[in-house]
Amino acid sequence: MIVDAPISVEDYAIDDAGHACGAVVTFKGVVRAENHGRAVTRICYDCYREMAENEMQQIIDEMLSTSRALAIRAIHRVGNLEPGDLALLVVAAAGHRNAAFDVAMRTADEIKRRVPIWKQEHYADSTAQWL
Amino acid sequence: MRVEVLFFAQFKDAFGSDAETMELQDGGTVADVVRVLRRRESWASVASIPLAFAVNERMVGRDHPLTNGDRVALLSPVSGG
Repeated sequence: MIVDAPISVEDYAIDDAGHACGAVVTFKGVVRAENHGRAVTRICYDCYREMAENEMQQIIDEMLSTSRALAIRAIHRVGNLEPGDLALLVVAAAGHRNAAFDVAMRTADEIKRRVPIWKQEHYADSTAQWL
Repeated sequence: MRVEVLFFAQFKDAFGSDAETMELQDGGTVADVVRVLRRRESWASVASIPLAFAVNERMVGRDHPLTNGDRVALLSPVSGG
């Protein structure tokens, strides 16, 4: 899911994965105030929303069919974010912690690798660059 | 025919817009869209960026044939997260 507004972790908590659920891992990708030694003042995320929504759902479907995950939620915020803001939230539930950690990690990796979202870092010296 | 060309990130900056309508000859392909854009001065700022393409939200190659009303997206390497 792609959102413009701040992400509330509580809104996407997994508490209905059933009795087989023994572990829920929550990954929060947060805007850093520094990157490669440069002070970051904000990040502007651009996206191809229709494709991004479809690709994120495709990734979740792939993960559910190829892992022991019981439920996965993934939300990416776009627009202008400041250091400390939550940019990417992945929540994964599984029977055991290894599977939950693994699928949360792989879901975040695939989102960063495949979903058409681009970030432009803005720096304290008033310059900016697309990464 | 007319197609809608979608720009994101560096391409949005380069062309000063997130989309434009482009006239192409019937039988045109994605490569023809790129050919038109390359003639512009602003192409120089994005010429070195590796590109992928989507038509109507599906990834395609440069030789993909276009039809009237298609949405052609220029996609640079992604950097979300």
